[in-house]
Order: sequence, then structure tokens, then C-alpha cells
Amino acid sequence: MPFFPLLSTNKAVGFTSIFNFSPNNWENHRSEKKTVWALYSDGRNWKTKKLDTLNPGESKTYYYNDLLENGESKTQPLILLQLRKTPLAEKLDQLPSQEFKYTKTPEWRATVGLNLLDSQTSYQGEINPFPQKASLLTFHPFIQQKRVKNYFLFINAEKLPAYRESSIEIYEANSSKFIDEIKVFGNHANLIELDHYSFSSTDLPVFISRTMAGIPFGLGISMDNEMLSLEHTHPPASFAVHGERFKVQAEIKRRWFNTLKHKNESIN
Amino acid sequence: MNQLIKNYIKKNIPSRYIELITNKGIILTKIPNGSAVISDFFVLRVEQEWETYFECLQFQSLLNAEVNEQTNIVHFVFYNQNGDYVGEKEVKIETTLKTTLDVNKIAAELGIKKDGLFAVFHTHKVNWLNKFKSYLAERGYVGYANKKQGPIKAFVHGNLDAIAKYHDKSEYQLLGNYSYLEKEFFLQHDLNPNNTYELYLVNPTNKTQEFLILEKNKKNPNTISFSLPPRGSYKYVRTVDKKEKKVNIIIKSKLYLARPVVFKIMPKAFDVFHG
Repeated sequence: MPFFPLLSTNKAVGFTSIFNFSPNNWENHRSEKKTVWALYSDGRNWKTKKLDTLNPGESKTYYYNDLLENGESKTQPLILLQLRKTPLAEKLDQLPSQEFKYTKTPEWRATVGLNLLDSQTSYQGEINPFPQKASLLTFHPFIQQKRVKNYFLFINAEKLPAYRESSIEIYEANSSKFIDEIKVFGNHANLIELDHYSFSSTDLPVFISRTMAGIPFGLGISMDNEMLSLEHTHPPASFAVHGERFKVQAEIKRRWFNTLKHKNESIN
Repeated sequence: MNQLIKNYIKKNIPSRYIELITNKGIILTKIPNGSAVISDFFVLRVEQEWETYFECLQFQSLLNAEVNEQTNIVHFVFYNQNGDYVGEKEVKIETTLKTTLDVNKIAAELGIKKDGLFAVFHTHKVNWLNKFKSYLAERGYVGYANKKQGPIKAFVHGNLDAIAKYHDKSEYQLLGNYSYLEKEFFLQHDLNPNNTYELYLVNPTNKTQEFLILEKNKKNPNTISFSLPPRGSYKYVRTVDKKEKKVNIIIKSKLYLARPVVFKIMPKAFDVFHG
């Protein structure tokens, strides 16, 4: 059920370029017109907007502020773009299924980025809704010490439209020291400022959520606002290749979740 | 049992044979035959005032959720653009879980002054991974800086688990698979006017590969063809003029996944990502 995220933050505005052509010519895919739909949650329903119909080979870039004006939503929910054949109702109680067969090598992706003044940063991405019973563990090596404002960006999409509340616990991995706990919301892009924690160049921040999964990023913005830097951090499965990688991931998570004690647990 | 059969096939039958029966059996990279540690190929940029940094994480500690009190050693290996071995170095890293390594400095100590590739192998064995038939792999993060192009670093992770180093012998194995048939990779990214794009392509296979780069939907597309030996790398540069429309790139080769690392150079900043 791939969607293409269009995110935004209060520091930089999001854009997403969506492509009606396959990334390869050897996995089965039917070349045909596709209509771009935007979906975002108001907390109760998924609201939908029909955008454009793309001919085979075409691409189009969408800016967050063009689709969701300030005031339309009190927060900045994630917008999900989907390529479709059939129309959607104005409101939905869950995300719709996909209507096309997509490639796997690589995944069919969009250019997902942020824009500030004359600078852009992006990654090639897609998002599949995360199950509600899932968790996050990620290490964050992107803190820059000079001339940079550092952020942790966490995006989540779930099948149901609720703004489900969870939290991100922040630790320093060398010491396993609890640093902070920040409230985050489902179906949103959540931005966490990091500089007031004064991480040093050898510190390794680690972010965990025991009740929500999502895609974590490091975002850097130069002090003069002239350059952005965005890269997603890996899930623990990336430390290994081949074999039963997701069992490896589960084992790494088990070990770290046991090691990183929440402040309330530490007191007890 | 099914998993055992799948693993046997993956390990012993090249993807290009499996592909003749089904696309579903294709795997991008080979499974090493024996105890090994794996690395991606990372792009080393030293020319034109580029700086390359490696965010080195202590895998021994991260995989065991405990801080190892001893310094660790990671093994850097460098290749030039023709894929020739140009040097290697064992680098001591601190007990801290993260060390930012200045790769230009390591390369300079080996007399390397040109762009190329490097691989990073962790020397510690993480034995519990064997239980899951998995291999320890360094997939990166590389930070790039260039004061002329922008004020801060931009990061990118590795592209493909490309090379294995065996524990019990001083041998490396290239892991990239390739097909008998030509494949096309369409970069799902618009090259926009007023920017310069530098696309780095890598050959992670054990055979010289032919590449053709062309622009999509152009009546008279500019094409560039080149051969890339094993471990070789190539930089394709495309400046999109202000008056041009956006450009889309196709890469033809026999690689299943010829995705480049892309540097996007804007008037006052740069960005890096994989295709």
C-alpha cells in the first residue's frame, strides 16, 4: 500500500515530486495514466483531494503549502500522495488500498524533500502505513557542532486517521542516560529540536518509541538558513544483511529496550 | 525446509540464471561463502575541495547494547576510479559508540589524491548473528562537506552491500549480481534548471560492465557510454541550464540496480542522496 509522503515543519516547507514511470524496465508494470490524490487526516477522517492526472513518463512536484493552507488544520499533518485509477470519497475512515503493481528493486519512490529560501534537501522515499503495535529504535549520528541547528524528524502514517499519541524517549547511548521524553502524534511529521541537549561530537543520541513506529531523520539547517541537510537513520536491521535480518532487529531492540530505562523506571 | 532450499539457491545459483525462470528469484547481492564481514562501497571525494567524513559506529557495542571498554579497529580499503586497489589502513577508534573519521586525512596518509571508493570492515566478530545466518554489514553514513558549495555537511548512507572480507583468509569478494540482459534504471528524480548534478556510478560486480547514460524523452538525447571495471567508479556531470526544462536520466547496464549516488549542487548549497 505505498504512499508518497509530503511533509512539512515549522522550519522548512515540504515538497514531493511524484513520478508516473517505473524505476526499472524489468519488473512487471503497466504503463498507463494515473491520477494523483492527496490524503490527510483531520484526526477523525482521511480527507481527500484530487490533484492531477499524469501521463506515462510524466512527473509533477507538489508543495505542502499549496495543498494544505495554514488554518485548514491546527497542526501540520502528513500529506500522503497516492497514484490511483478510481476516485475517492471526500472523507474516508481508513487509508485506501493501492490500485497498481509497483516495483521492488528498487521500490517505486518519490523525491521527498524540504525547501528553505534557495536551498532544498531530499531523499528518495515512500511510506507504507505502520501497524499500531510497533516500536522504534534508531541511533542518530548526524549531530553537527558548527553553524548548524540540529533536529530529529519523525514521520508516521497509520491506516486509521486518529492522531494517536505516543512519545519518543531520548537517551545518550554511551552512558544509557535518559535525556528527555517528547510527545509525538501519528499521521504527522514531528520535529524535535536537539541543540538544547548539548550533545557532544562523540555522543550518540538514541531515540526509542515503545508504542509507535515511523521513519526517523536527521535534519540540519545552517545558521544562515542557506543550506539544509536531511537523511534518514537506519533501523537496526541494517547492521546485518542476508539471513533472518528482522529477527536480528528484534534481538537488537530487545537488548536496547532492556538497557534504556525510562526515568520513572530508573527511580524505582 | 523451504527457507533452507531458498538459501541454498541464493548462495549457489547466480541470479542471472534464476532470472531466466523468474524475476522473483533475483537477489541484488551474493551471499558470502563462509565467515565474512560486509561493506558498501562509499564514494570518496577529495578533489575540488570536497571533504569526506565517516560516522563510524561501534558495532560490537551497538549489537550487544553495552559499551565496550576497549578501543576498536576498523579496516579501510581504498580503490581508484579504475577499480585498482590503492591502499588500506587499520584505524583505531575510540571507546565511544560514535567516532567521526576524516576520510580525506586517512586517504592522504596513503598518498590518495583522487576521488574513488572506499570500504569499511569491522574487525570484531558478532557471533550471535550466525544464529540468524546474517552477516555484519557497514552500510554507512558518509558526511560530505565543501565550503565552496555550502556551509554544512550533508549525509548519505550506503547504496548496496557490495564487498565481503573473509575472516579466515586475506580475500575480498565482490557481491554485486548482474544479468545477461540489459536493464534500464530510471532515476525517479527531476534534474531541475539552475543546478548541477554529479552522479556517481559504481561497479560492485566481478566483471567489467558497460554503461550508457541518456536523457529521457529527448529527441536527440545526449548519451555517454563507458566501461567500468570491477570496483570502478564514474562521475557523470549534468548542468541544467536556467532556460532548459527539467531533465530525467536513464542508466542502461546489466546491473539489476544501477542507482547512483547523486550530488545536487545548487547556487548556495548542495545536497546528496542515493537514487
